[in-house]
Amino acid sequence: MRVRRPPTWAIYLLPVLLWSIPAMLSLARVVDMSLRDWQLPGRPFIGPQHYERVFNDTVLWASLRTTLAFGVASAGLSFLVGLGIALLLASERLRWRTLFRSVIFLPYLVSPIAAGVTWKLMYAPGDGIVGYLLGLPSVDWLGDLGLSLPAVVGVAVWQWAPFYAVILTAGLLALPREPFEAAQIDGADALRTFRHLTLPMLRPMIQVAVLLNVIDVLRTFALVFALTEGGPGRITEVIGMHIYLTAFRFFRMDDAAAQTILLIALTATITLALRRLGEGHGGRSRAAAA
Amino acid sequence: MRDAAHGITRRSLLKRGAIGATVLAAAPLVAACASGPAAPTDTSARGAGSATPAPPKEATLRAIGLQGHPSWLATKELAKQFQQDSLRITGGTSVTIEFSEFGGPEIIQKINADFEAKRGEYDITYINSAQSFGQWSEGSVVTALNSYMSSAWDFNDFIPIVRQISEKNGKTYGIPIMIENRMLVYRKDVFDADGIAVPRTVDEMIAVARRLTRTPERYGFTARTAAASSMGFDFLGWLYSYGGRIFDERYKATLTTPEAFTAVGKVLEIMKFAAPGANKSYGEITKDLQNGTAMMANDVSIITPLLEDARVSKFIGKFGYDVAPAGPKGPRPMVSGHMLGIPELSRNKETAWKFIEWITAKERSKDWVLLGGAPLREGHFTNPEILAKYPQYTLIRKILGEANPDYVPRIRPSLEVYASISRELSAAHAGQKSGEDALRAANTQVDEILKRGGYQK
Repeated sequence: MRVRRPPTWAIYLLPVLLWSIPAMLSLARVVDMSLRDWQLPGRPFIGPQHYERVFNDTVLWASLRTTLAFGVASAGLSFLVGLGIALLLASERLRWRTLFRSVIFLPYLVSPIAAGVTWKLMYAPGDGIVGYLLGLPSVDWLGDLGLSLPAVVGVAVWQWAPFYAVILTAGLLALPREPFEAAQIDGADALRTFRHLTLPMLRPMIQVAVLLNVIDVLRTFALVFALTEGGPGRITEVIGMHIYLTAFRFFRMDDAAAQTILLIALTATITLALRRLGEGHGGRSRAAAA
Repeated sequence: MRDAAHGITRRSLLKRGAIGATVLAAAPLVAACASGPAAPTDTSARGAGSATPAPPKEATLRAIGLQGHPSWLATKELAKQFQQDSLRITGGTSVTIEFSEFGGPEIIQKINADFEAKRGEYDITYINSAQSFGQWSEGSVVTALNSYMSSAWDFNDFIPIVRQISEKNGKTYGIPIMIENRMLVYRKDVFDADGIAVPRTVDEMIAVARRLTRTPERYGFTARTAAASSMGFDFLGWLYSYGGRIFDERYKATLTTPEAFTAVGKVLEIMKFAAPGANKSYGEITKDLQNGTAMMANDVSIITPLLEDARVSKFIGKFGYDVAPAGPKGPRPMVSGHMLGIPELSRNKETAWKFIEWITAKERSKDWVLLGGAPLREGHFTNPEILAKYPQYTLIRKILGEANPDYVPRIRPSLEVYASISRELSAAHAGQKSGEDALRAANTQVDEILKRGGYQK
């Protein structure tokens, strides 16, 4: 008698439910908070009033623009720096590769708060090492309107480039040798090989790394809090910082909940768009190859 | 796929993976269910009629306080003695105190989260009059202490400003362990060498700061620049001393008056001679003074022990202290207090009060001050032993006599009010907008905050 086995998806149903139920419950709680007035006794249901306030909150939208500018700059630069590091780490000519691969990853392991506090000291005008090394000891990197956001981006790149480096190094080391040997035989130089072979073959890894980094970027709070508290003015106030202030300094949990839902929706939209973009590029590449 | 040697199939691998994932996912849930909320730790003694004496009751108090602050450090130090003597002090309960410490905003975050989740994790909390007092007293996050206070403990012995700052509508919500105000701190040796008199007015202070600045080696002044709240908190004193107010009796914002504009102009003027640095708070101010970067500051009186500490200060004995220079309408009566309070959800209120009462009792308060705690009772300011160690406390008593307990309006959104002012001032200081534009923007925001909070009728 033939035994009917459950389909594969059924095997994973239980762990998926167990993983997602706490997240769904938390999300439901936040949605509930955003539909009530927490300043009144009993926290009555008031519908979407907080969302109306969110959409009319010019400060919130300014922080969103700051977040997007910060995100594009830090994710983009982190990727480029990380890719450069990965190419080095994957090179067979590099000695002590294992040691370098471990050391390079250290900044990513540092907590954002610790990184922020340390870099704030390093950026300090007068006795900070950044100014000393650049020959500009009296520059107020974090207090200057034009420099503060780039300074924060710099710290973010220091933290996230190793993340890209590790993922892309693994990707580079897993690439098959044959296409590269064939390209060499055909006379392709290093740049053409990189552009037409390495990058397309690394695309799936790049896509994953960028997606994960974007989610991290949109949630940035601790780094900015430690470095600048969102100042000077609100120049470096990312949305994570704004939500923190609303919830935990100003005790407006209901408004903060609505802002959080907005952030979740934005994150989901951006990650979905990035995935579609990646799939679109991949489809066109496959079509071109055929 | 089948591995003939080991009988492993793809399906069996998937199955094992699913079981592993289930276990990993379930483990945190099981752990969460197994550990419930912090249960009261009082244990009952054995009943009468037992041949052996009943074991003492036990209680564990969880206290949360301000990391690194001298008054909190003094609290922890004295707490060791309390714990050793707790059976006698409490009349039969052996008390253990668990301390946790964080920055001010993090304490607010943890207490608020604990209150919202109705956990009751903490029994003693640090309260800041400028940040959390308003929201916690109005929101009943901390309990009123009047019913616990005994006449023997003598709350009236505390100096008036200490009592005023911890009361709202006749109820006392915290017992101060620190009271501080802004005082003028200056390098006496530099002033004497240059023949500079101690400034008495804001204009004199600005002129001295200009004179002493020799960029980049040294600056005439240093001030807080933390954008989220500190700049706004400091500005309030300037505002009051120029005759300005944050809002009027009807809670309508009044930050666009000529007095307010004059005050912000003076602040921005002196900031031109202030040591640069973003996100500065009292730690950075202290460092600027300790290492000679800045020659003057108007900052909290509690930093004086740090300035006279040979381990960290290069200029001990060279600092002078005086009343913060006044504006044309009066002094800049900055004052803030740190208090110990009892969260409303604490299950050990009686025992927590025993600790607070003991640590702030008259008979041991001298030890408290000598350990670095702030002077709070009248006797502290005349005690020869205390004055020998901290001679500046005579001046501090004078300054505290002029302090305004409502320096920060003790309303629920007080922190949001002066945080809004702070961010706009920070933008003006960085050159993003003029001081007047900054106050116009702050005025609009403060109005919205007060309207939303139901204060404007």
